[in-house]
Amino acid sequence: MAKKRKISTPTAVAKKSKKKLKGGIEKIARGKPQKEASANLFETIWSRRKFDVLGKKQKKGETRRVGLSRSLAVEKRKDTLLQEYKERNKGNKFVDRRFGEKDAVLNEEEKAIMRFQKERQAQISRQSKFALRDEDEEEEEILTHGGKALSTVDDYEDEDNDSMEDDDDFLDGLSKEEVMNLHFGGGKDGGNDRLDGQKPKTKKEIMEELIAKSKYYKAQKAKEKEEDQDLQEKLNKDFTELVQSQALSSLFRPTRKDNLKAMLTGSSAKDKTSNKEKDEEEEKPDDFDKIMKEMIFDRRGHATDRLKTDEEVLKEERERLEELERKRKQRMLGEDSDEEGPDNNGEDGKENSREKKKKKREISGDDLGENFILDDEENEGRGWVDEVLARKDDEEAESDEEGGSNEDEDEDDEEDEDVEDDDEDLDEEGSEEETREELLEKVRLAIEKKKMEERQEKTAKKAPENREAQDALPFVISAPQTLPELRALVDYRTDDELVVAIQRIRTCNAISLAAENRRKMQIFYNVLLQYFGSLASEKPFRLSRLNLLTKPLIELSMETPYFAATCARERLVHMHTQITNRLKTSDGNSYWPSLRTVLLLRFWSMIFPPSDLRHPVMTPAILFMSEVLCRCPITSGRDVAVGAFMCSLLLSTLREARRFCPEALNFILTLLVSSLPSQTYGKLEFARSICPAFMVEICLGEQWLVLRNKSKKEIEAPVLDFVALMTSEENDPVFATDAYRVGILRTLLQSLNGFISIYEDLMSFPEVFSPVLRVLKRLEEELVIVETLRPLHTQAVEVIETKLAEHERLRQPLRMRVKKRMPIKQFNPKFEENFMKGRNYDPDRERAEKKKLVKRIKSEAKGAARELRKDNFFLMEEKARERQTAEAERKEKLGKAMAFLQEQESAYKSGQLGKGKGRRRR
Amino acid sequence: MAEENGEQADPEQQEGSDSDGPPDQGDDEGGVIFILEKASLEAGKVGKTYQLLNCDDHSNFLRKHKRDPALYRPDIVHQALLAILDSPLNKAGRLKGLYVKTDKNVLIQVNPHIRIPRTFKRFCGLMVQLLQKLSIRATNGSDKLLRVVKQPVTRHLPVGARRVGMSFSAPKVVQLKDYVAASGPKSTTVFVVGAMAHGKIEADYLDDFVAVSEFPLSAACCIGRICNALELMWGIL
Repeated sequence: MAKKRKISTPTAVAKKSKKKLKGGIEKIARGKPQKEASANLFETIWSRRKFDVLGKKQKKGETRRVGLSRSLAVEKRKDTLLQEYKERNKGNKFVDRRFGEKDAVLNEEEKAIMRFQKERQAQISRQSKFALRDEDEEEEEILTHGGKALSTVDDYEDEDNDSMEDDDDFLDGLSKEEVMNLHFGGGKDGGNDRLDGQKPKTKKEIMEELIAKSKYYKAQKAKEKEEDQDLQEKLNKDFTELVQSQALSSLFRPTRKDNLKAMLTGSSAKDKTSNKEKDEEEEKPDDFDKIMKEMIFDRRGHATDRLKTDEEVLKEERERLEELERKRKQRMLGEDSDEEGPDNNGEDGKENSREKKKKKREISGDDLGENFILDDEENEGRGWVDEVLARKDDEEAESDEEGGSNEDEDEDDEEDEDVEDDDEDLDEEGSEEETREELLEKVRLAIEKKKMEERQEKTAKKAPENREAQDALPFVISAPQTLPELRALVDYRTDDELVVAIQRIRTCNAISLAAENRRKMQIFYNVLLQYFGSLASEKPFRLSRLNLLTKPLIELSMETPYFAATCARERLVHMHTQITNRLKTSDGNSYWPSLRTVLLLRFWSMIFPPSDLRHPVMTPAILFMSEVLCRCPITSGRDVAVGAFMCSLLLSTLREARRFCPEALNFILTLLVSSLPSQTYGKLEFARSICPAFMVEICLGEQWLVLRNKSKKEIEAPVLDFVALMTSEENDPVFATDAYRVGILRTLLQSLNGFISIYEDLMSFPEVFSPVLRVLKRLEEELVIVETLRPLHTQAVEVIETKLAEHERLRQPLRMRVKKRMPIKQFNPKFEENFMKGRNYDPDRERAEKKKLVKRIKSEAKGAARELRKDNFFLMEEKARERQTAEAERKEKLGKAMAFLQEQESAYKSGQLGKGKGRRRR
Repeated sequence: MAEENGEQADPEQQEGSDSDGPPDQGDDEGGVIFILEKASLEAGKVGKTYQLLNCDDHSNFLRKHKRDPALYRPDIVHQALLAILDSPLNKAGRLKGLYVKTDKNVLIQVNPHIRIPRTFKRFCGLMVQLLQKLSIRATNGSDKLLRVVKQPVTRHLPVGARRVGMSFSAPKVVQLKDYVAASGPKSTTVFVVGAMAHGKIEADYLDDFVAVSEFPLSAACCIGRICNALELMWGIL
């Protein structure tokens, strides 16, 4: 407050007021509390701590005397605000700065004394101390000695003259130097030093001393060195003695000892006795040396050739083949001499042995995934569907592998290792499926080949090389780019030669050998696929040849998975359009796909993983098969067989992923229903209740599966020759036999069992399979199930029944939906660890700072307003007091005037007022 | 502390008074109000920080200040609060109010929506902050979950609610299930439970004074019984 006001007032006044203020405060602070403590009881009251927090210490300014501070504030205002208020209308003012003028306690005399004191003090203050004395100063400074003025004391009037003389005598007895020391020497020590040195050394002396010292040190050093040497020599001597005394020798290894000896002898040639010993030692075979020598002769690891990469292997193979081809051509041109005969033979032999080896391997293992094997009497117990089913497990494993490798190859097409792994897998797997029939065939082929070779040899004698040049398979074969080319190459060849040819083509055009080979091989793959198709549609159907094609085709697909998929998709599209067209234009032919299509589908299901959720080939392929089963009307026994095979094919593809395929199930059911005898009561209704509407007519149409023979017990259930059925004519007598019908029923039941096992975990199992159960029971009632089918039938019925019971047991009844009770919402309280009141916990520092400032501004503003309010109150009080005094003054004046007037009046009235009186007054 | 709190809680009391009553007083379903009496929640300055005094951590400190450490048991309050707020009764929204009155005469109103810290340490932190700041907000909302309110507690209780004190020393031991059922499912009852280690509650506003067991029970256990009885009555599972 005061400060503010000070700024507003002129500076001269400000200074004064400041001083005044300070004085006031001092006065208040000094005197008043003690004095007025008794006067104002409120000032004695201390503010109290309102509540007690355990452990909280009292701060210094925490408690205060509110009453006191209030009265202080009032005093302060009196000194500042009031003064200003009083001088508000004045331009300047008189300030009495005389000493003691303000002190009310002093009287005039005391004031005078004080002023005098102050003056004197000012005189003897620092400044005046050194000021030159005025000449006319009355007072003189007197030098004193022993309290007497010096002027009064005579210098030469001393009583001690005698003693002075004594002193002189004493001085005479001392040397000059002593006197010097005693009189002018510094400290005692310094004097003593001087006494020791007798006299200060000259420079020369110092230098001499120094030189002497250094010489002394040098001599000392030399002496020490000499002593050291002596000691060393002594030690050496002792040591050699020790060594010779053999006390040490037991502690060292012999070789070390030798070294030591050698060292010793080298150093001291005197030791001759030790030499003798050393020789003796040397004659003895040293253990260490022995071991060393042995180790020299140890076998060491030799560097081996690095493993050849696949490319190198392929390259070598190719080179070998090229070499063979060159020789063959040489022979063809007749350049070979008789000498080469045995060589040739040998070569032939080699080749033969290679071929044989290959054949052997093929027999053991290349026979992968043939599902086209013809079953014969050897394999009576199992039908071709059986075969398919039995093979499922293996194939699943295989397809797993394929899936994995396919994915790998998606990432890296040329990852040959994977391919080879797969091949090996396939080989292993194939070996299990080796059938005797095939073995027989191989043997037969081998015999044929032998015969042919013999024949060749015979002809070779007559017309040597020309024939061979045409017949023999070239070693280096460029990949055929069209189907005719391939056919020209392999058509007239035996199956073995076909395999070898494909093998050679693949070796010579391996993708890893050259970049352009990829394209070549892709085209070759396509051609091979075409060849596969054409073989499948050939009339004298050669299954063995087809089987041989599968392995290279699968391997090629692995090498170029994208291309294989593209090819497959193209063909699928083509197949689909074909079927659709055929369905549109019913020209009396069979609607069902040909053997070629079915075989291709089977082939793809082997190449591509059927378990993928979405696969560019397998998904459309499965859809295609389902559509065929759904849409194609059955017009012949052959169609039934194709349908049954498709069902089993679907089963095999769906088995792993357990996809639901209602088409296949419906088809199986429909066929089973249709096998009921036509005269059965209510067959139509039954069929309607079981089958979808569009399939009912199949049940009621021509009775392909109704058994004709009444004595059903005798009918055997042969394993059907699928290929034969497929290739046979529509009106083949085979289709009219009961054996065929039972065979079909058998395959259907097997597929059904397969589907049951797949779908047994479905939630809707009861809904899906309860009609199946009905059909199966009906079949049994109608005596369709012959003895040979009974095991399959009972298995299916049992599984369905147990599963139905299980599902029924586990199913929960439907319940009304109960509204779930929602718990009330809960909130987390916001608090800090180690909270302290007043500390800011805002993570945003700037904001916290700002908040703090705003708070301060607010509190400051509040404080200022409060102060101003109090000032106003104070001034108001002051004004009121002023007014009061003014009023009182005025009143008094008025009273006086009135009194005078009244006196006058009374005097006038009483008649006292007159001349005399008036005069007297004056 | 109580005095100061009383003073400072005053402005809040103004705003609080309109929403003070049990939140769902309007609807006809019954409710329950809990009051924890004589809770020992006291903050002390230990070293440089304020801490909630408890007998385990501050026994020396308390002895130094000539207090009986056995009386400083904020863990009882913690357990009791957890028992009330975690009960299905509260989840079902039947808890209409919850008050804690401390030894030092501070009355704390607890929002039934609060999720009390599970660990005792964090609970202590929360209470220390509450005793200094006088209110605690939610992390994700602006509503106050805890606040110090004006005394006496009766001004916050709904009119006509039955006020039942729980004490082992009460003359009659009741089967709580029947006792609760007697007042009917639509009524709101106030249960006063002591959250102290020793002694009995001294509340002058009680209508009834009962014991629920033949044994002295802990506060949490007693609350558990009450909650169970009420849940049974209201069919809260």
